[in-house]
Amino acid sequence: MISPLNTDGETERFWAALRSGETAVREVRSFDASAYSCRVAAEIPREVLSCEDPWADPAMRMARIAFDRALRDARLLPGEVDPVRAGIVVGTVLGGILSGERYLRSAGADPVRDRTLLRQYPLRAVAAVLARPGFSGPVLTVSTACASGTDAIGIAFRNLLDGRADAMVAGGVDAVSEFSFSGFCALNALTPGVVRPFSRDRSGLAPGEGAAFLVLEREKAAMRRGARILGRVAGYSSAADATHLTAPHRDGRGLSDAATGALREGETAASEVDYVNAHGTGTLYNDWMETKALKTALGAHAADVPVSSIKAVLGHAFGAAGAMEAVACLLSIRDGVVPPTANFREPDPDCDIDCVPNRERRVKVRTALSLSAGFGGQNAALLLRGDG
Amino acid sequence: MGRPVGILGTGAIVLRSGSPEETAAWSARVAEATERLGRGGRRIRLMHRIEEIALLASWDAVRESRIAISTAAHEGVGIALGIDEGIDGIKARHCLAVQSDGPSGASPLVFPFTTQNAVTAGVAIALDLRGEIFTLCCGPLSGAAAIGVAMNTVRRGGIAAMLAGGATSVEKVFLDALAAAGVRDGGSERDGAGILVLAPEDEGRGPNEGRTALLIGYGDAFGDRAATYAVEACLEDAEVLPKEVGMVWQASTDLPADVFRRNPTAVLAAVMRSPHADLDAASFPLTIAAVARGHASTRQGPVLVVGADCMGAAAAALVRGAS
Repeated sequence: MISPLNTDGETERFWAALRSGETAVREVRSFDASAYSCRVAAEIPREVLSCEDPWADPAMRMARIAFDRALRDARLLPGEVDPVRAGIVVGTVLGGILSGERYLRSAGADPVRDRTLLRQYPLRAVAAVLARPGFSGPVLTVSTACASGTDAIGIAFRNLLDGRADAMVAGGVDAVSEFSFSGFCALNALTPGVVRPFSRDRSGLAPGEGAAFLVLEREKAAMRRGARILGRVAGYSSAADATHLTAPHRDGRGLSDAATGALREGETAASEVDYVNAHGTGTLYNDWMETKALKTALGAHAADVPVSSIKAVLGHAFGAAGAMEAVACLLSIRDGVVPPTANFREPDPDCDIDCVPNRERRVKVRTALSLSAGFGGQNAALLLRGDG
Repeated sequence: MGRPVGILGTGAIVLRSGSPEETAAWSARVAEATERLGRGGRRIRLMHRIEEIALLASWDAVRESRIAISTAAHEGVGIALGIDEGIDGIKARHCLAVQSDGPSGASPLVFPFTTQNAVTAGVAIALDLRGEIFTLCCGPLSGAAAIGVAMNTVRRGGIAAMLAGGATSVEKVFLDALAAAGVRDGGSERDGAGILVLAPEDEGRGPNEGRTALLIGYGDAFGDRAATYAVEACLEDAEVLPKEVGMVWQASTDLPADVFRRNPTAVLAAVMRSPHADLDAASFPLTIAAVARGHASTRQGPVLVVGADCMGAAAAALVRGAS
């Protein structure tokens, strides 16, 4: 994976930064944001993403870096899996939108440049860029707003469960762009300063970016080839609010349905959940809604289980967020440490959950629940487990 | 082998001419839908063409299927839509408004529609679908991918039905982009949507609840031999031998004409090109809908619907008439 916390792609650096609670949210650098009332985001310096092709889309670069890293970490070499039984699922909200912006703003000026930019603009292009020899199975792009990364992993998980594939690489990617920044600013969803999930004085989200991918395989196959198993996907579910295009359901109905569905699939009781990685955007309505959803899905256990949001540190990476949060859950399981909800200042009576304020916590995590929600009433939940 | 999935209903919309008659008839249909699907005396609001066609095709499919999206069944009806073309114009509008007017150019009403899943969400909100919800963006095969995901969801159980398919609205901004990229014949502006209501095989078997057809297999693949692999995966999924296939319908413009001669599965059936092959994300589901509606004979055996795109992906589905 690659994020503003680990621009070198080192996952351990990402994890150390999450645990420290030191935020990557800063003044926007990738475009001129001086005219906006909100001017912060968590970005990967564009020079880190530079390559021989000056027209390469930053999101494509992020996706490639994270994808290659995932294959290397999993020691999945070409030919180890029947190519027809190996696939890719990418979650993204806007894919190569930076190429799209450049194309739309300069359309017709340079036909050669247009062609380069146009190839990278459709969402489909991200998956096509990642496809390579060894992956001749399903290659899909899923775009379910900010639940995209979680849904990508869920769809890949189901392909394995149902015997349609033997190995799937799944995750998400999105880049900070003026296109999305301006839109979220118009919706009053951005913070003017600091992201404070679940805090009474929270003021909004900060855009983030990056890419994260997981290599999913059946356990026996992974063990046979000596791969290091980081954890298990035990359950997944998606659910629609069916109420409003931008506002979440006021009782978190869809999110609680998704969480309940993932628990059901994982044959897991609510009381067995040791950690919840919240969607936790730091907007007024999301964090209220999410608290209600947790109470519905987990019952009395919602008051006891540690719940944290890593978006205070990482920003909201939209289509990549769910995949990054799944990685955080797996590392929590591995190390028995729950990352904090950073920048927390003041309890909100309407968000009366244990949000692990400001300091990491040692917790034996056997089962973690990762929640995602997005525009369009999208909700998704992943249930992750450790060994045995 | 995966279990067959029932196709309980289909919705098919194709708008090509842009004639005054077509436009007037369409406006009347949209007006009826927005009123009848409204709640509490309020019409639903549709802002863009692709929303209109996706919703009306979905509504048609639901009505034909006679599934009850009632209080009891809310959590049990989901949707998977494939969306590719159709929101480029909205994206361009948002992008250029910000370029010309700065932050004040961004509209909180327009921006939410710049994401592909807004179309799916609009259908879910209007029809009150609270089950699983997916938007697949796989170029011209977006609708095929959505059908694959939905079929998988239905087979897993625990859901009453899934709406699945794709919608497209080929806009001027897209055709201009094709021209800029050197593609001379991108066709003309055209719209379409194909929606299927998929449910477990044993659904819809009551005396007055006709199941139109069965979806018995699905496969998709990527790369140099994608079409071959997709067909093989589909036939394997359905446990059908190549010689048992009655007919092949080509549901995309990019499928190499000789794919079946080179295909080691040796599908020997006649290959017909679907009349909907140029309808992008809607082409594959529209073709399946046509088969389900009896526009292709399934007496000789199941119909294989195959599509491929220029980026290297292919998909195949096998449809059998309901007996």
